[in-house]
Amino acid sequence: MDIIMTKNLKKIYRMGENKVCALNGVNFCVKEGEFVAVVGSSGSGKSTLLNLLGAMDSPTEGEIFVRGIPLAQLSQNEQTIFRRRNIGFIFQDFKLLPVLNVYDNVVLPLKLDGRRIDQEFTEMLLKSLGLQEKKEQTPYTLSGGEQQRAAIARALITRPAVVLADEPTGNLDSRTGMEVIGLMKMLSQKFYQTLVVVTHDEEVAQTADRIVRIEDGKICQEGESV
Amino acid sequence: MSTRNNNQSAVKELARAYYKENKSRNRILTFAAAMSVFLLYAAFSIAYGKLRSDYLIDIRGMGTTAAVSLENGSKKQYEQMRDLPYIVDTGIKKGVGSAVFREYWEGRLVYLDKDAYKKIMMPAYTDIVGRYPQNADEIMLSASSLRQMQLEHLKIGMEIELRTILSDGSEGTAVFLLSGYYTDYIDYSVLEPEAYVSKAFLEQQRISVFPADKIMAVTRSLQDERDIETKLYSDLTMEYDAQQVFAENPMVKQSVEGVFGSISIAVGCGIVVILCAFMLIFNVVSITMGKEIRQYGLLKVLGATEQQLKGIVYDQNIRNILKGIMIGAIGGSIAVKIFLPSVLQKLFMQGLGESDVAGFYPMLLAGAGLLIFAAAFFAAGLALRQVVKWNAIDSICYIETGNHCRKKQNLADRFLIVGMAWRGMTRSKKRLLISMGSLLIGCMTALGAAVIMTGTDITNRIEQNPDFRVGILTGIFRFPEMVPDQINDETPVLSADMKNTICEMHGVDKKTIKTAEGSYAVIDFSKNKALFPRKQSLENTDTGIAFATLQIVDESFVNELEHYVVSNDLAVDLERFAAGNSCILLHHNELSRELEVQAEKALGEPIVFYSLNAYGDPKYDTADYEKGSLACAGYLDMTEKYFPKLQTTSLGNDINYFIMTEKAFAKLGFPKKVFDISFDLEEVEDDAVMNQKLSQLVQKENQKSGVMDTFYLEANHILLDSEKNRTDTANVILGGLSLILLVIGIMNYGNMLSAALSVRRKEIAVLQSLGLTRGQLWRMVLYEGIGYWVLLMSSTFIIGSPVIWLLGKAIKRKLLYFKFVYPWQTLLILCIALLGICFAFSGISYFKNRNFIDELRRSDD
Amino acid sequence: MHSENKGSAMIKKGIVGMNAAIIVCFAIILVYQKNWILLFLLALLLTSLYLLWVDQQKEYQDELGEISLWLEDLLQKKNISGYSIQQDTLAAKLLSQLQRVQNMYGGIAARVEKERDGIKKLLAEIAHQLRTPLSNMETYLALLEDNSIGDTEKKAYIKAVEQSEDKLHFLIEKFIVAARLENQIIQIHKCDSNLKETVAQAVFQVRKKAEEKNINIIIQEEAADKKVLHDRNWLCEAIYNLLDNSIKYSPVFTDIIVKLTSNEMFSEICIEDSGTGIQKGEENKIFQLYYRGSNISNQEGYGMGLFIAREIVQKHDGFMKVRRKDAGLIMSIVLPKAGT
Repeated sequence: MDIIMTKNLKKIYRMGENKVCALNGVNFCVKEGEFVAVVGSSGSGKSTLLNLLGAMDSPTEGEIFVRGIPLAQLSQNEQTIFRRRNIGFIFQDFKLLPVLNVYDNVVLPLKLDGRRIDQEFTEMLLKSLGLQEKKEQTPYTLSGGEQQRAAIARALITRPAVVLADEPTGNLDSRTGMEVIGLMKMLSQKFYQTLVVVTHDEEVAQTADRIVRIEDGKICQEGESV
Repeated sequence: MSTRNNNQSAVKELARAYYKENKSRNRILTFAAAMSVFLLYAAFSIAYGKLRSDYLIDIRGMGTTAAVSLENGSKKQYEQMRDLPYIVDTGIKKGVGSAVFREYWEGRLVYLDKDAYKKIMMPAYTDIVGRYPQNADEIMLSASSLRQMQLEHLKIGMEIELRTILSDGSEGTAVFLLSGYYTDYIDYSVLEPEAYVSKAFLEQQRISVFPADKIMAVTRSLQDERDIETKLYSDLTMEYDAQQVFAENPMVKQSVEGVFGSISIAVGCGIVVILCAFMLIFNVVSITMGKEIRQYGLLKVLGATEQQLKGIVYDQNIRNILKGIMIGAIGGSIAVKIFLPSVLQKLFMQGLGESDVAGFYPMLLAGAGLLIFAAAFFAAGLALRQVVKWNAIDSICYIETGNHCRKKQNLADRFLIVGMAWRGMTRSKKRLLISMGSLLIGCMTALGAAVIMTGTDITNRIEQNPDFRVGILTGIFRFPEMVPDQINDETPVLSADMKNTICEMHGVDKKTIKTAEGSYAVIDFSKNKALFPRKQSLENTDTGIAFATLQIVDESFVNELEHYVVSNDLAVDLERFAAGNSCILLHHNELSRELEVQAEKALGEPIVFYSLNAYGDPKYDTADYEKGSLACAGYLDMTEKYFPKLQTTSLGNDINYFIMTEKAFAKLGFPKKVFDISFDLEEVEDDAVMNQKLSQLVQKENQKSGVMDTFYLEANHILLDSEKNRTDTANVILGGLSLILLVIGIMNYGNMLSAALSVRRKEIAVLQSLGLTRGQLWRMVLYEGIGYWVLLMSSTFIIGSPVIWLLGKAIKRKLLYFKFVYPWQTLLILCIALLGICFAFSGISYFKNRNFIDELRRSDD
Repeated sequence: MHSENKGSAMIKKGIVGMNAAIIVCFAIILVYQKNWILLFLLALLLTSLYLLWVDQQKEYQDELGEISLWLEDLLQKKNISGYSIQQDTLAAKLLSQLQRVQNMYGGIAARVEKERDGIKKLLAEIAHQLRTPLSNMETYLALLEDNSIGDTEKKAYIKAVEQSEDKLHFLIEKFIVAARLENQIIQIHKCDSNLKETVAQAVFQVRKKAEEKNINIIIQEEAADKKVLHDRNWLCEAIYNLLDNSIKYSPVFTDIIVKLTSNEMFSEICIEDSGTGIQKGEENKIFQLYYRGSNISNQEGYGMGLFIAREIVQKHDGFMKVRRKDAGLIMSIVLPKAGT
């Protein structure tokens, strides 16, 4: 069944006098367990779509359903809690909290919901992402690539139903990037997660089950699903 | 009400992490809270202490706690008064007669019932040794009486032999045992010394308690005495027309009503302090939030609800606030405990013994703490409300608005820099307002303090007083038996010898010598209608002839009097007074309302003055001794607030005091007597030396046998010293308050600046890479600093001036002698000091932003 | 999990008892003082507190009861995704966890079923594919039994049977490999050896097919590392599959260029052909098992070669890249360097 579904999604930004139409009627569906890559040139609206799917922003028009729940009808707090329990988000510019060390940053989503920290799983994640030695350090001391990996670990730690990733391999070399994608794929298989990855890297896109292309706020091509 | 999620630890951990990050913010908040609690508690304590001191001054000065008294009260009236709801305590005072101790001391024998002693008289005394007399032969005296009696080693039970003259006329001698003694603060130039006897003594002499000389009543503290007087007149049935209820007013000491410590000032201080604390905390919290807003947005994305975010913010900030309150409370209670008694002493007590404050008021402390906590909580809540409500994605992408510098600009343009400086200032209007606001409060407080300090400084006024004054303590009324043998019309009060000695004294500035002159005379109450109201107001209404003091007043006084009479629309005939045809009778609030009405009718009626010789003549044929008559121009109450200043000789209840012009006096033909003399010293002379010389002279005169009255010496420099003491303490306190508030304001300002700058660092770095030279950067930062300074000073001037003018008006209503002086000096000092501070801050900003390469390299946080 | 030990339970009971004693004393004092109003108020207070407590207990019970109902639904395999409570309460958290559990296991179960279906399909496919060569063999063997045929014909028929036998072999091998790969049974043993030799081996294996179509296979080497960590046999198989595809879909008299490159991080084997290539958007799909592109026209194939190749490369911790040309395709195998 469809875990994500949007109907005629529109998002219009106002910058002073100008109106920028980031999304212009997007109908987008993702099946449960699927790995979808979203590609497009910059400014095409990929990140906006992701933000809307993650209930971080509200659409100007249209509807979004995630796990059958209409996001627009939730209040801000409800959206926050929904996000907490269902979505793992990887930002393009990682966004770690500078006041916490790597380990605390990674397990933060669990703590916010009062869930137990599975030490084995955490260790496995950190090891696979090459962060085990650096887990006591603060984000300032890490390189861009390491920070991104930490952000990825943070998104995966709760084993969420939906993982939304915005250029997760942007700061990583190809090899590490593919490893990371491989890790994400493995986890998504094991825990039955849905992945939606925005990327401009064709290789990454090719590892996905389906590639969706966005141009000028509209979906222009969809691969057929299996 | 479902079970809450078990995720409380997340908030605590995050709060702790953020707490550790913001060390400077922690310090500022703690300091602000501590200072505020300290100031509030100090202000409250001083106010409370002042209330207590006021009370003590009043009762000690009066010698009683009673607010009103009913003269000659009957038993029925006593019972009535007891039942009145607004009367708290009643006591009976009955005069038994008078007593004399050798030639040293003379006073009245008085009986006080239990309530009168315990509740009404005792609280006005300190250092009480022993107890009230129980047995018939016991007596209680004040320490000053005992000193006057020249009794040195005081012991309970010691024998004191007194000559008694009881009210029934019988004379005798009795040996009394001292059952107790006390220290009082009564001015004996006004009130006669008293000795207390027991009820047993009363019964022994078969004198009944009622009608009591005075039924004294204590009322609930907040009511005005005049209101009570009116109420009592209507609630009690008067026994006779002239029965008087009068208020026990401290007439000699004008209580320095200290602008301080009145409840309105304390409240004002409190509000100012709380406002400052509020603004500082609000600013600090919102600045911190501004820095961290993106992180809070991120937390929201990760799943932190609004409640959790609020919890994180509150947790960090409240921790600091509580720490600050603790520190402020401890520091405050220690400081107050140590300093309050001496502060109160210097400010208010004026030598009337010590204040009995405990120095520690837990309730006030708790109140101060709670108020500051509430203000801080509210400020923090307000600051975070705006932020927490934001959309997650908006918070994450938050960049300070106003980044207009994308346009390519010619950086050589002169006004560009000014424009940039201006934009920098107005970037966040809210923050600008708050920082300026708190600095403004600091400045206004400083100005207000300056106004208060200069206005209530009566050292100038005191300095205007003559340096020295020699006068008499009592008056002819104390020595009736000496009239007319030792004292007659010719007998000088201040002998010519004495006067010459003083005038010739080395160092006396002859030009400044002033004297109060006049004479004593005899008046006959039975003969003059005009005197009737006066007669009725006396305690003993059976008098026929009595003494009168006549004083000559000069032209300037007459003018002032005219002004006073006209503006208060009083029933006084000034034309005839000025013309020299009449005289005015002065009294000390001794007329009941009915008698006042009667006094008006007395206008124009003649008053005849007789020579003193008439007193000794048993035949009472006063007509032989008539010296002259003047019309009655009216009765005036000297205790009224706006009555023009008059240097009188001794004046008090039962003393018949007349003022008249020189012309009128001449009509009567009495030789002029000098009552007192005052003068200034020439510049070079030493006050202390002159004081010594004069004291010796006065002492010698007092020891001369046959002298009528006791002389006293008033040295202005002693008064001045005590007043200086008071003003210095006041200055310290007010100055301290202003300084602290200014410091808080400056901290706020500094904090705001540093926050604004850290946000604009990147922008400035970009500008520099575009071509902004260091010189231009310096100018921009400087202009901004000057801009703030201009804004601050102009708002201080524009807003502050009317505020302090209003303040001046409000104070003037309470303190007549208050003079409003615009604090130019303080303003100037503030201007310069703040300019310096703005400069300093600009300098710091400049140095921090000089190197921009690192800034550009730094990635976004 | 039960943290209350006897000790704290005793303390709690003690406290309750003490409070009760205090209240009773207080009540007695009030009765003694005949202070009925206070007594009444005390009773009122106690009653309302008790009622509140009872109500609170009932709420807790309801909450837990609701959770039990959800679990019931879960057991009965009813979908509980319909409920949505987004609150920061324990019950809401439990619900979302339960929903996740249901989805996860449901999805995994679905996948398992799909795999089983896949295997069933595979078996069916095997049966189907094997039938053709088997029936061929039957036919030709039957024909061979006829003694009246000539030698040449006999030879031809035997050849045909051999061909079918080969095909059977090939098919069975392939199927076994695919099945094993799909079930992750196969192990790869890497060792440091000359990549070029591996490539050469594969090229050698396809040379006959290439020659048949007059296709030139050119090996280019640009600053490539000699030694790369890999499993020669398996990688050879992967390269073979790629080459096989290229040959199959290239027209005659064209070139296939095999380029070897490397940089600090990886070594790459690029196979470029000028064949029919694939459609835009098919880049992913061609690696799926049994997928046969839209450009295959009449070519034989079972859609397994690329799948196997990719599995092998992935087991080398590497990946494959596909790039379309106007005419043709560039397939790459990217292998990580030793030590990275």
